[in-house]
Amino acid sequence: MTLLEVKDLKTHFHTAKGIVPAVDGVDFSVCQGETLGLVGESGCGKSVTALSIMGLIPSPPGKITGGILFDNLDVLFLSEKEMRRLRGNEMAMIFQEPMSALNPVLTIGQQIAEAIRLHQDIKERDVEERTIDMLQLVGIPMPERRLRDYPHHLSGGMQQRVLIAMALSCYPKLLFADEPSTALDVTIQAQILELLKKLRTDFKTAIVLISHDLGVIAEMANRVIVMYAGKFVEEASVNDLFHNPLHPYTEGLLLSVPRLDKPIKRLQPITGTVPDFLDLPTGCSFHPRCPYALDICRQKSPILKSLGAGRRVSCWLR
Amino acid sequence: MDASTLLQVRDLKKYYPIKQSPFSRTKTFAKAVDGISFDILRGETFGLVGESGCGKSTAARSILRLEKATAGSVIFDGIDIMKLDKAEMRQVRRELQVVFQDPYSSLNPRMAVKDIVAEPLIVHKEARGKELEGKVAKLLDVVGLSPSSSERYPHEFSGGQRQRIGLARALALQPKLIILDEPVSALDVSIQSQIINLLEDLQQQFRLTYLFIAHDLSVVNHISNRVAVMYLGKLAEMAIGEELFKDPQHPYTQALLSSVPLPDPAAKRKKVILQGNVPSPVNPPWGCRFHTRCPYKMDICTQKEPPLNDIGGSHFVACHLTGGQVKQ
Repeated sequence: MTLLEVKDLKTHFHTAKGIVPAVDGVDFSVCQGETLGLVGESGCGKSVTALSIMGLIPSPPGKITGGILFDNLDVLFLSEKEMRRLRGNEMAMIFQEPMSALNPVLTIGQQIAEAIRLHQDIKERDVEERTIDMLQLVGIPMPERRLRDYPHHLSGGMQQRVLIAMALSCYPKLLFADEPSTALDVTIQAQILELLKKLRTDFKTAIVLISHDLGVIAEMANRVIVMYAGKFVEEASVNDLFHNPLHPYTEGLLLSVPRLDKPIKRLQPITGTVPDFLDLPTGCSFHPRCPYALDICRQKSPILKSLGAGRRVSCWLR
Repeated sequence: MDASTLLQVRDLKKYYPIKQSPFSRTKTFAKAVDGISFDILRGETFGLVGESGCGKSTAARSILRLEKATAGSVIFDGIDIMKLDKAEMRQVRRELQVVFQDPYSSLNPRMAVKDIVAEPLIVHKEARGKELEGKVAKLLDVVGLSPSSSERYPHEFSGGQRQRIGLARALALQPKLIILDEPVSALDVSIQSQIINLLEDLQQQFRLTYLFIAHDLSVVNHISNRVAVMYLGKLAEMAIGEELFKDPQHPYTQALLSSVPLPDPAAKRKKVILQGNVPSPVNPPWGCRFHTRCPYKMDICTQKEPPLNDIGGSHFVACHLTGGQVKQ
């Protein structure tokens, strides 16, 4: 069952220097219980996509157009009050840097309880119990005592668990996880990924996992979308994407990372750098860095073609 | 010391005193680096890996004498640099350079690129006038920056290009050893590989020796000849890169390697997921420092600290499980 449907979503920022098309016409859907990976380098628009759906883009300077259908509600037409009822309740988000996403002057118990009190029809004396349950669920030892700790008492991994507890406290249908483990050490990252896997089987939560780490995506996602300069360049099932990438950018990303499982003598980097949104190349945004660029790539922007079996690619070669 | 050894570190320690009440009698310390020893051979890349807070950057800073080491010796190219005075140390620094992680904060925002790269040459009175200009232009070319970039300022560059500027500056005095402290961690995937390839090219071209510090095991595995794994201020394991990654002996190394998510959805392997966090270096656990998280903990591990044993094939492990046994 489709939980989220996004049609021609555009998030443009009107700045003094001109219009920044951070997200430029993307279509996708998320089904109940699935994990969709959103990959791309910094500035490609993956976080802005999530923030737009969550209604967290300030306007001005942001301007969102298109359609976002979540659970049969047209999100863009909701009032701020209605949106607030949805956010943190039906859809929630965890951010990359746990320390800056938590309020330093409230205990973690207060912060988790806030969401529960706001959204759930629950008796006051049961709130604490539910908060403790949530902390237990995300694997925080001695939750009754941790409840009264402030964020700075906890390590980065523990803070991330608190954020996950907060995001899950109302059993959301959709969870955006924006680089949930990037700021953490590998052994702690492994703990957090394991936790997310457990939660999605227990609660059937759909997850949109945003990451630049191809390893994390390969391990977690069922389906993957690759983003470049505000647009989707490829969509595929996780196996297809990693074993048979169709877009030169996807191929380039896979060849440029050093791998523990298949050591190679020399990496094959993608040449050049990510383009500036205020000065995007003509035609396909990737053409200046593409080893296979044709004349048409410099002139006309390719559309995201559907190749069947959930596979889409936007490239003149295909 | 063997002539093929460029840097010899012996029992290096760096303790930071912890502020306490003025009436307190005992002093406590955070033992950031607690007795590490290793050799770096000429022309090799020696990788130092570990999680945040394990002391790898402090070790680098102590070797560079940017921090005063609490104890231990560092012999660089035959000279014990812990005993040098300021002026002598300045001479050694010509041959011992460093590139830091964050290219955004390690370049002076008010200096043009050409001045940043020229500064070490001026300080050491290496060149002036036309000669200086020529040298700077050559350095920029070597690291792949266009001549037009010399008049521009750091904020006009992307992260990868800033790291190239840092490298040009480090290369200016023709160093023998460059300490690279997380040089690619702040960069995007596609840029990271460009810088890694550049580092490899520069090493070939100028016969450089690298001490490569990073937390990303895939990157360290790719670039290093030998690798040491650090945990809570001590070395847990040290071996030739391929050997370490294929056949890790220390339970911490095993866990660390199995935690790295592989970019292959078909990869099947058993993960060792460590419980808990790294303990504080102020009160590190008794015995083996890893015993609080180790899945194979024995009684001896809580009592006696395992030494870094040679298990043959220049593979060293600090673990009671492999204590002194040579592998078959």
